[in-house]
Amino acid sequence: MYLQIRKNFFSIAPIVLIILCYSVVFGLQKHIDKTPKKTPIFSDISYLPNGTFLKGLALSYDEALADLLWIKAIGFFGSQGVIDKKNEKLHVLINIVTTLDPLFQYPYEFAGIVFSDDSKTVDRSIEILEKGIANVPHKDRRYWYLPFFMAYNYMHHKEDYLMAAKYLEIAASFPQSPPYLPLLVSRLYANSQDPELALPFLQEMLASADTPERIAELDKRIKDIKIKQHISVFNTAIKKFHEYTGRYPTDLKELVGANILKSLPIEPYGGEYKIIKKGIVQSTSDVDDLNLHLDKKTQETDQPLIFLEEPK
Amino acid sequence: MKKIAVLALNTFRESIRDKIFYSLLAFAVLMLGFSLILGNLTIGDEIKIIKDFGLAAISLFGVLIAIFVGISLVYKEMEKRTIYVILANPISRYQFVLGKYLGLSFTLMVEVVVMTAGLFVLCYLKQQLIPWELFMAIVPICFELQLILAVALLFSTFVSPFLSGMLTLAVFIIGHLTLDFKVLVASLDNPALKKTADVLYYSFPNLETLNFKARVVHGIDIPWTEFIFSLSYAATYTIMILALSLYIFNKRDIR
Amino acid sequence: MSTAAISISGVSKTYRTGFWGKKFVALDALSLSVEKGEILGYLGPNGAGKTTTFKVLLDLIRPDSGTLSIFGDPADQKARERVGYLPENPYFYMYLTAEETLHFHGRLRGMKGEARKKRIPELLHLVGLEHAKSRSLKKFSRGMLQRIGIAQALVNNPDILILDEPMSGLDPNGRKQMRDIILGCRDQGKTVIFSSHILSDVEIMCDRAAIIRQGKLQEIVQVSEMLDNKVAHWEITCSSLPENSPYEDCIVHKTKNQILLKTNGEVEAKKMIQKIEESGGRVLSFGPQRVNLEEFYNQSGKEEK
Repeated sequence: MYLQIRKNFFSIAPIVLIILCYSVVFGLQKHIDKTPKKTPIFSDISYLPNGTFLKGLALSYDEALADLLWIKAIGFFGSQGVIDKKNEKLHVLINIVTTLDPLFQYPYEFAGIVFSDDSKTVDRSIEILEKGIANVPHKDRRYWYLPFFMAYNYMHHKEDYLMAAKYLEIAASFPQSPPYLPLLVSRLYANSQDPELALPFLQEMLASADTPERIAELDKRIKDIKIKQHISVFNTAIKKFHEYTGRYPTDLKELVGANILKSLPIEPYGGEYKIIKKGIVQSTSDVDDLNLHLDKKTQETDQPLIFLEEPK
Repeated sequence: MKKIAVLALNTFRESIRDKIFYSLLAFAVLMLGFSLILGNLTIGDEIKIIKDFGLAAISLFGVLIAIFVGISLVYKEMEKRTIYVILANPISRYQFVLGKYLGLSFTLMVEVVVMTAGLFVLCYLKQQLIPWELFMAIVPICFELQLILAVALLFSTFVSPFLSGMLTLAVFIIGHLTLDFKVLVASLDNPALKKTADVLYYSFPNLETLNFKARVVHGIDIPWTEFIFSLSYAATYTIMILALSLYIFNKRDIR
Repeated sequence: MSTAAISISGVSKTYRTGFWGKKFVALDALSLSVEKGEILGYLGPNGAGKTTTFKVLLDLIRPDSGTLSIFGDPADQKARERVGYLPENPYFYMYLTAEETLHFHGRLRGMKGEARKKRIPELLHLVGLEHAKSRSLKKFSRGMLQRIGIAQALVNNPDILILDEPMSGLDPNGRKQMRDIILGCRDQGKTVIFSSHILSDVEIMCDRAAIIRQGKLQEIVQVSEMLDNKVAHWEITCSSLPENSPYEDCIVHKTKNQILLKTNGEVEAKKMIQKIEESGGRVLSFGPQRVNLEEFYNQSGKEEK
């Protein structure tokens, strides 16, 4: 009897111990995960040697190493958001990753977008996108995004519309690119300073944005541009109204009534458009100045004005 | 207890006579060579790089030894049929396994101590300062090595050395990647992948919790609670793996 | 009630070989007991389950059913203190010297330092390895390993010896020494069970012999009784046979000037001698031949088939 108990004890004890240990391990793991680590995972990144040096060290596993660093980068930027404003670490990391595996498209695109947020870092965006355009195989399904975002950089930050149109043409030559691109190119050549030209770019960026912060920010930029665009259409319409009737409308609905506008647009933030003094329209929501002087470049056409539909 | 000690000492003796400690020579050469090269190629903070590489080398050599020697712990005894004579003695299976484990773990610790001393000497020569704070990284490395050794032992109780080597290496690599994987997947919107990441995360040891290297080298304060929790995590995990090995080994027929 | 030194009752063990597990019955309800102070020879063809029996006794292999006891107590870790084991072709840690090996095993048997220091030189002397005591086992021959094996089994002076093929790998001189050691153990009151394929050794040393086939105990032979009582046949050696003698069938072996004849029954044999001498032949030798184990063993094997 005693022996039986002893035997059973020795066969059960390890199982009990295993279960006990695992619950402790699980608890500790949860606890450790809860306490936030002060240092970002990439505190050390600036010490990483440059990509060419690493390429030697990687012992022919360059691509795997690139992927590994890339996964770390995405995880880090995804979870903690961008910590330093100038994205120093991302810049270092992207340089390494793109040197280790120059054919890897996504890092170029990711960095190209992140760095184009700010006119201070736009040169980095251009530099990285150039590297990508030179290296990524043209077969890549997302290749066209690189010249596409390049065009955005030149148009929006550099105000170099010719360069923008050139890159956009490259993007448009890829079959995967959206069908409205050629139209955009011609508009860019014809009237380079139309604010609504930024709209498709932003919409494309929104589609590939992956953090809530970025999505919210891009969304705001799109709405702001829409308001500007709406106001510019209103201004043109009011001018026409003035030509036809010799007076300024007091209500925007008069424009529809006079068959100059087909309908009134919806204010993206949920506010409304009003005529504040003769011929000047404003939104009830505050809009950042987009640095574009709308009244100077209104278009003279006889066609009824329509509001630009969102692409796709 | 005494018999465990006898077995452990004998295992230690085995590692001495099998000339495992020659690997220390490789460590010395690597460290010296590296610091000499860096002397010519200085990119700013040389001592920092020496510390980084020193710690990396200690960890890497330790892991290699733990895997390569650990995997043959039990299996080799069966293959070479030395186990019959040993287990025919009045010792129990658990005494045998623990004795073997402790002997090797002692070997590993001696290796780490010697390598640490080597690193300190190098730092002292460069800087006239002994970087005692590196112990905050080396102690967790020791715990990690113990855990890896236990994993190697576990596999060695039921599969061939080659396979258990591969498996242990896989556990080592996955153990360092699960955290990244989990963080990465958390930002995606894929419940199935999230579940997989969670399962992986909680079924493999999270070896990243024991990685204090970067913070130690940069002199960033490590909260004591985190340090203690990480060490107890590793220790408990090691005990669990050992218990599992004992359980498996105890059921085996030594044919 | 006197308890047997070793008692095995109803022990079965089935192995699964390979991954999908073809079943192989190694022991089939085996019952056997070894009395205190006897030497039991354990016989059987290869793969009959001899080694498995020993391993089950030493808890190296866990039986599916049945009980094992040593001096009435279960055959567990504690009981192994009274058992010395020499495996078939023993393997040791090659990095140890002969002396270190014995110290190591002594420690594992819980022997104190002083006891070991006294015992180990004695053992080295007993097995004739004094000259090689500080040589590493790497440099040992098969026979020397066998000697170290028996020394290790005897290190704490156990009451029971389990020897798996103790004679294998030994030269004739070594075999004699091993025999002497085993017989010496009996004189000290130890119980010995050993397996062997060398039947003459079993004949010389054993009190009883157990024959196992296919995991089942087939027969237990009282070796001394068998040798005492049974005369199997009579043998006559002569220089020549009479012409056209009716004994051509009896010839076992014939050389140029010797003929060996075999016959059952004493009367028959005497008649033969008479005939031979009448025809002018010379009888060189004449005597009864006892049953030997080999015949017995072979016979029991035939019956099985």
